Amino acid sequence: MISKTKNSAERKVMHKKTKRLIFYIAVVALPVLQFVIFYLYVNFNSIILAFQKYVPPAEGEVGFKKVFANFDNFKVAFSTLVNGWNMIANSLRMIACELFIGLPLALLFSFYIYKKFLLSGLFKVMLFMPQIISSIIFVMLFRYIANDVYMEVFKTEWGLLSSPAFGTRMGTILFYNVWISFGINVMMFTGAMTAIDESVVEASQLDGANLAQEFIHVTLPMIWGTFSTFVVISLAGLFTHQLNLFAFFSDGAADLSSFGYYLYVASTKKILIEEPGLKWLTYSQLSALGIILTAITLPIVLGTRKLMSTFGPSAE
Amino acid sequence: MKKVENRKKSNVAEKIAVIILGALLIAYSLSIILVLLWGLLSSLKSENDFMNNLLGLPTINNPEWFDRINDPDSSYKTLFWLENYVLVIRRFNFPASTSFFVGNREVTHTTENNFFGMLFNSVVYAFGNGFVQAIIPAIMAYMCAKYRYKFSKVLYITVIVVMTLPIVGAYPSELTLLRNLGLYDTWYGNFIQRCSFTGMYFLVFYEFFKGVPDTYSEAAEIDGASQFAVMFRIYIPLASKIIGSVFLIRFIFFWNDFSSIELYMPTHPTLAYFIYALGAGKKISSDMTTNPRKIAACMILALPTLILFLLLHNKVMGSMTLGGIKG
Repeated sequence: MISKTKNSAERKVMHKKTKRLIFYIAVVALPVLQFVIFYLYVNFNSIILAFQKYVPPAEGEVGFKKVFANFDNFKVAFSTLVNGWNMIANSLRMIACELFIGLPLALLFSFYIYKKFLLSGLFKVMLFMPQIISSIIFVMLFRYIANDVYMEVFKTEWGLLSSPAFGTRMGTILFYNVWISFGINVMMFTGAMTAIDESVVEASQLDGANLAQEFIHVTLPMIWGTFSTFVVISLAGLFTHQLNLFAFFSDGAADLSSFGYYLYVASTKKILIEEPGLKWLTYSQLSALGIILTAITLPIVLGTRKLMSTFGPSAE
Repeated sequence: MKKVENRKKSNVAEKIAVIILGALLIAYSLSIILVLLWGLLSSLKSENDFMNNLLGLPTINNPEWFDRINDPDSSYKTLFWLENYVLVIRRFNFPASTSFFVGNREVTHTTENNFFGMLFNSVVYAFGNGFVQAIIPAIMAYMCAKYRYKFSKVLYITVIVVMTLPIVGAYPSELTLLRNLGLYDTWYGNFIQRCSFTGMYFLVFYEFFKGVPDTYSEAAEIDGASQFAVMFRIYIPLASKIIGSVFLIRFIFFWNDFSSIELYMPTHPTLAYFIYALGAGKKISSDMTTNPRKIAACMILALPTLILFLLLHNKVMGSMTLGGIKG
């Protein structure tokens, strides 16, 4: 009798476990399938595509044919990379501005808001405003102001974005990108700062720490995880960041182009077959370029991450 | 004595630093307000008034013109009758077309879009994608946090790895896949593509569900609740505030998104894409080519998210704080 009851209880537990497992599989299956197709397959297919090329149909045949391309696409992609030093330089300018101007300013603004200095609530909202209003609206208004209004006010022949001087145009684009970049960073940093235990701050104040010392020895080490995550995210965007160039210039950014911008615009061109004189790469060549750029970015990102976690300030 | 003096000096330096930071923030806030204000005023001007009076208030009285309503230099109609806004809403027309290859076959999609069609596209695009991108990570995070199988750990690690790996240039492969599956430039294709559970919000939900005790589900199961009921009647409602905040953030993001439309949904233009098309000089109705009308279109696009933000800014920004990766 006892063993019968035991068996029945065991069966019930087994039944419950099976039901849980079936439910788990049923719920998880579709999102996992989506991930497998849209992340794993897409990236795997990028590698396949990089070794293929499309050729025009032979006489009597219909449609393009895919053939093995050996390393042809990589050769073209590599020469694009070598000849595209200005695009690399622009990508580096962008990342340098973000890392050495945008992020430090965001940190200082966050500290100001965290310490609840004058009008901090208002500043928090204002810094977040560019995240709320579409970048395309800010781009359009900024373009009028940088060109038409600037020319009107300073009585100049050229606007900041229409100037023939590369430095002026690039500087304006970099300024714009820093100007609208604070929202998310400030929110995250302020959030992390608010989570710092009040007793730690009080202890540092009792030890005679002034505001700068509190920032350097308490706040910064305590939010180092958040800060280094943002540095890593910024670096990961080295060759994908568009600098809002597409919004500013559509496909005509010319010498201001970054690699992120180039990859995006070239993808919208839907080019399958290489044609002489065409300035955009084909899909296959773009895939090869993507692989090369990933290979360059990956060690930079992982190395920086490791360095920041090893040599970052200690909260001790 | 020297210590006190140093302390005083340091206090003065501190105050100066705070004042400088405050001044910078005031300048920043003013720059944002002035740009938006300039846009609002410009959208209320006639084209002539805009060209002749770029920085001033709209002009309505021109002593050299007897009929101030029909004076081309006067902004009477655009200021009091909101003519630019009315024209954007009434006469906007945008033909969108795209041609692409599905395997070897060339396919062409064409649509005609008026203002309300684009508004509809914006609402469906922002609402649908916002909902999908809030609920899918929430459900997957719940499954990983509460069903402690090895596969759940694999999924968690996968999310971390995907966030760290800087993969560049997968657009061609993604576009080829979408086209070959017949998902390119379609609503259902767009939603399937957005059903991703990876990303920062998965981690936010995961931490939340980990913190909710299992006793709720145990009690419910004793009362005979199914796994489905436990998830949708107990745990997901507990996370409804975070889901709502993530939805709001994603809604705003997709409302403002135009570059994904260009890439994946070219014949389903949204209002944000319309503004891009105006700026990029794409083929649009001739009524829209004047500067104040372009700016009026910007203001129309900005209004819903601005209202939403001003009403719910604590929620939107609160959730971002919640999402802050703790140091």
